[in-house]
Amino acid sequence: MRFADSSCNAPARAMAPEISARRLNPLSPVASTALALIRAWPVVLLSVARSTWEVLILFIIAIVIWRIAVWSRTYWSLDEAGLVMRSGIWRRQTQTVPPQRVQQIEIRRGLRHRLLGLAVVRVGLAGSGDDNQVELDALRSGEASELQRVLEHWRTLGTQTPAVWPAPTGFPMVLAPAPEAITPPRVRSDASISPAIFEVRTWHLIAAGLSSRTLWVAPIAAIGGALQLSGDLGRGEETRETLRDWVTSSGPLIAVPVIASAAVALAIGSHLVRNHRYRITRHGGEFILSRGLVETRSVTVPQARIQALQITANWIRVILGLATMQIHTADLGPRSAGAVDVPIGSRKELIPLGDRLLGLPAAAIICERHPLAAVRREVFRRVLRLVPVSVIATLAIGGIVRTTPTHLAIAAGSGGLLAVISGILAATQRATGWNDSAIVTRSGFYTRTQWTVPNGRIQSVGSTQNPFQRRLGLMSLRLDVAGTRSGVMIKDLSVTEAERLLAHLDSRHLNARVIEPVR
Amino acid sequence: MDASTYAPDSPHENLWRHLHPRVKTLWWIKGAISDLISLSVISAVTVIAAANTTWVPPWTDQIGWLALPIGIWVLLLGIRGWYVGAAYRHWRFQFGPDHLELHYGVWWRRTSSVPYHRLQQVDEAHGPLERWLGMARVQLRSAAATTDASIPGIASRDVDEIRRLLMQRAGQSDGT
Repeated sequence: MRFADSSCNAPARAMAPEISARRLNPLSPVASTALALIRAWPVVLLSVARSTWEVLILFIIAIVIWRIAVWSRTYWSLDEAGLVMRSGIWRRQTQTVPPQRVQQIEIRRGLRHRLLGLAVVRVGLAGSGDDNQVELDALRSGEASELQRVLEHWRTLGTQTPAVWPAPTGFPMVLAPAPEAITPPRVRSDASISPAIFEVRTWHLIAAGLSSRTLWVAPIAAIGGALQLSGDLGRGEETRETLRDWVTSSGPLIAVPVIASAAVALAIGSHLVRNHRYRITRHGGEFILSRGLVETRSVTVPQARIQALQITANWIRVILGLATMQIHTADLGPRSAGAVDVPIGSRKELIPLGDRLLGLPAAAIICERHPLAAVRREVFRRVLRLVPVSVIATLAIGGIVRTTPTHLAIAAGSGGLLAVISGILAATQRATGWNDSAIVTRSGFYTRTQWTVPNGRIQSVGSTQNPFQRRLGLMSLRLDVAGTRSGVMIKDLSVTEAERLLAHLDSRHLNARVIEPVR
Repeated sequence: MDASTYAPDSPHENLWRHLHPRVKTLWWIKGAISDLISLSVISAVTVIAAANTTWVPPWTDQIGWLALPIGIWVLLLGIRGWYVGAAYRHWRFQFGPDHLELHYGVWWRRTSSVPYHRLQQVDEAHGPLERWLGMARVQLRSAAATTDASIPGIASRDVDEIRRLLMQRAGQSDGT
């Protein structure tokens, strides 16, 4: 099979050597059929329960035929334009990825892939959604590593696209390498052989599980599950009596701890399995993040592609001195893929790690708290939101007829009090600082977030002032950074500080093109 | 606005510019249509609700079914007229030496600053009303999804000049 020259975005290749296109691994339909059956579990379960085996067999045959058809129509190649992939049965699609546009390369090996010796290669590009990525599902494991190595090597050749990409020798699919071929250095992509610059500790993962949102639903799940186990509760008086009988019996003593323990085990176990042996290693200008017990993942992120870092910690993790870190590249990726992140780590470790990832000088950026007027604005904002919500919730629960003015007054008062307390706590945590390299901004009380954005990575800047902010002399800024879904917000700076920051950015990030080209 | 004023070496560079005055008509018509649709939906729901319950809207006996919605619409048209004027006065933009700067908003005052070398693409769009009024909208895009830089109300004949100017300045960087 050779590609027909029908790709609209591939450059002209009249002088290019002919290069064969390859198929995905022949075992990949087996792996994808297994996944399809797992996803279609209700059909499988229903067929097994009703013993309608003929339906199940027909269903499996249909999936197998479909997956084989998909496999037979999917080709990929490396040529002078970069990585080219052609796929689709009804709608043919040709994707061409110049190596210098690659934001990150991910190699994923699920259990079904490992059993078959396969791996999935996902090449992330700038932008969001499924159309902005190329996924080879699946290649032979060694082939996937080799492809990753070749793409990394090509990417490092420079930011300017050469007339003809030097084809790497040694890569099995290339039949006729270009005369200028450069042999890529034999760098082992196996992250395990390089010294790690960061490793996650097991007790940190246990703490992450114990402080995760999954666990917060454990008490609710335990109580709900226990009530469910208590059987048919009936209605009215009968319900109360049944419940009283059940509560006074030994039922809750067994059910509640069992369900709560299962929730705890699930929360901790999922962290341990997903982030088993999480480590970050460095190879030249690239960082390799690898992890996983059942499904192993290895993501290669070039340092030059990192746009911003976000360190987040909920209040339990703040007490424990732990946090998570999101590494934002311009590749937003599909929502299911998940961001490149450090799942957990001590805050003291993560801050220098962040500086290292961004290549920032070690000098600490001192953050200054936002002005006191910001507290007034935050309290006002929350009062406007929480008081009506409390009143409406009271009316909804009590009913319009039965709710008295006293109830409404209590609801409004408690909503207002909550707004004042939470507003003060949230606003006093806000702080921002900057130097010649980057901007750091912190916010949040229950969930604390710290953004670090290198000056040279800011795409554009916006400011907002509503009438209340104008009266209080405040201004909010929005830093537009590639790879973030809503930008980086700096709320309620004093107008003087905001204008100082804008002037600083005008002088810094506008000139950044000289030293840091947009990629 | 004369297209030549957008030329890169124009003596008008670094001057604050307003949108084309016809944009006020555009905004006013769009607002009037939007208000009319909203009021029609609210009126229809009210009529259906009244038909299915014993509740009778208080104005039915006095001024009829149509008078109140039309009255509200006329009032909204007046408010729109004031708002459109205020929005037009606050909307201004500037082709600086390094970046494009936009200032706009009546209640929420917003600014956007987009360096030319961050531009990924420049889009031009015109709806039916804009075509009828001989206007267009220029949308600037950077690598960040949140970049908010759209200039409404540009005379159609000026769009090419603006696009050429922006792309020329964007091209003066590394071209990536």
